[in-house]
Amino acid sequence: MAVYKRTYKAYRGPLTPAWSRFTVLSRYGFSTLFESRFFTAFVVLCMVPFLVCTVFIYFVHSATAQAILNLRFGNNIVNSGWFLGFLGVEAWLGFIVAAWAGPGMVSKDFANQSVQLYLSRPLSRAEYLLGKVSVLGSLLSGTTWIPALILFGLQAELEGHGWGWNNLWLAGAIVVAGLLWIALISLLSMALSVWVKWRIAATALMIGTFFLLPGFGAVVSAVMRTRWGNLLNFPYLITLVWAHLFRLSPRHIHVVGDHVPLWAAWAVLLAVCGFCIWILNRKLKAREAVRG
Amino acid sequence: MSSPNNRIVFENVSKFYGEVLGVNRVNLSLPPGITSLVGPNGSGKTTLMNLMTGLVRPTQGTVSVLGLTPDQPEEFFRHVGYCTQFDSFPKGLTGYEFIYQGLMLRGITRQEAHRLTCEAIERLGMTEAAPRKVAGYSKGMRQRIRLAQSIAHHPTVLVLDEPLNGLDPMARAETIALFEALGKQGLHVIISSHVLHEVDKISDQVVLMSYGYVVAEGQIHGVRSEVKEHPMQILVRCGNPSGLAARLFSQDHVVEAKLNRDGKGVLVRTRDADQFYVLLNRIVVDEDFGLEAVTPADDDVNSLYQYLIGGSGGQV
Repeated sequence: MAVYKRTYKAYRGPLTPAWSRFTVLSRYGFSTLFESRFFTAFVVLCMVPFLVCTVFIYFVHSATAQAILNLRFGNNIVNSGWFLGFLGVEAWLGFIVAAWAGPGMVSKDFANQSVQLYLSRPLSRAEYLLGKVSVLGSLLSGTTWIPALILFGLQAELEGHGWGWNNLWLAGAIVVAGLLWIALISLLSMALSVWVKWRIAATALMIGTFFLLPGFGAVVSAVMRTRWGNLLNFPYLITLVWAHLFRLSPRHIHVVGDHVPLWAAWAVLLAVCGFCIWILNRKLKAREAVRG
Repeated sequence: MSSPNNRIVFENVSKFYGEVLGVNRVNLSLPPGITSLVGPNGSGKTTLMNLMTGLVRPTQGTVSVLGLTPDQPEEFFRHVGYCTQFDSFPKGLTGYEFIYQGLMLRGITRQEAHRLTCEAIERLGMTEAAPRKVAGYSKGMRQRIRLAQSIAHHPTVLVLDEPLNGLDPMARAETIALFEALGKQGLHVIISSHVLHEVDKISDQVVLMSYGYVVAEGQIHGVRSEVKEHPMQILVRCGNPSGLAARLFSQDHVVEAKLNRDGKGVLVRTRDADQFYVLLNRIVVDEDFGLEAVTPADDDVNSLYQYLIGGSGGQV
């Protein structure tokens, strides 16, 4: 019979709260992304529209500045349409950030077979994804709804007369619109990268989904003489939903044929998000298959 | 004997990946010490390890590690350390970061994580290489840094999937010494390896697997005695092997007595090793055969592998 000298001591020291573990992945995710100077420069570039709009709001409310530059802005120029325009510009910059950063987040772990390593720690698949998505979510929030809310606050402060309270719904619309966009592109970039497990292919698919699929949808609409082909045009669908959230008429949105109903736009966007979650759940496994 | 809460227990465990069998109806109760999982590719070793580490859930049956199940992840993963067979590293990390990040994910505080990282790195002799990116490591260095991350948090169950792959002879010897030390300290060290003669040297017990089934388990000698259809081979070195062979061959349990080519020994195949040793004692007391050595020739993992699974056992 073996006699074991029980000299070994398992670690019994303090532990951090379980809910905070995913932030370790986020931290490493950020540090990896910002190792690239191009990426850092691009994120800084995303702030330019915000700075321009900040200066614009200041000019709108400064008679002195307008007089110096010999400019004159009309009343109520900073309205829901203006905020939608700002969010639109930032959303497309955010799309580039997501197409750049998103696919590499998970596909690198798949390519390096390190998912198993993460999950052999007290970290669930959901927490692993949360750690990865939170990087994209923070970056995209920082380039979309957060600057838009800051501009809203600035406008409310400079406009006065209860403008902020009267337009509080606009703040809600900014947050919901931003979060919807972030959820769509984050989940799509993650799901595509988990699916193809190759960063370049995932980025190409992401771009194809947003730029080629609408073309296909337009062809379907034109050939079949239907409006339902537009359901393949995600940028159109999101703009339609945003227009509703910002209480604007969708008339100015360019589309082949008639507009699709609002409920259909919501349904497709939510279904895409749901499908991405399903793919992530299916593909993100703690085991690796040995082939050959 | 170790208490049930100090064992890794599989109760009627089956795991199917769709229609593909991982493991089937596995019943095991592994005590502390070094346990080797041996079997050909696809025999279910990695599935068994994944079940042990909570990475996959059994389709049927229950797995408990020291009385814990993966449903208690905080406590479960505190006890379990896993070194996968894959050359898997999150991209862009240094050796230090690789271990440090893993400890942080386990919830260990920054200061403690730094201390434990340095300790593990030093233990595996990776101090100089630790600040460099893992991507620039040799295969052996990668294997060692993976081992370091699996032991860094002081687990009580260490699951190592082919941990000796890629190590040079020196590193191999050092790593085996590390396993032996950990096993003697009362850890569960579960090793799968294709290098059977090394497994043989260090294992306290062995689990032989084939096609998802456990073919045999227990201490190597015990398992060998149970394999009745293959008579035990014992090599007796002596000065008069033909005389000894003549005396031995008259016994019922001796199936074969074959003279060595060098003329200085006889290889005996017997159905009852214990009876054979008693007989040998008696014979050498009665008559001087110039006995030099008596060694079991097939009381090892390699032979068990050949008898129970078939094929070459040297390098599976």
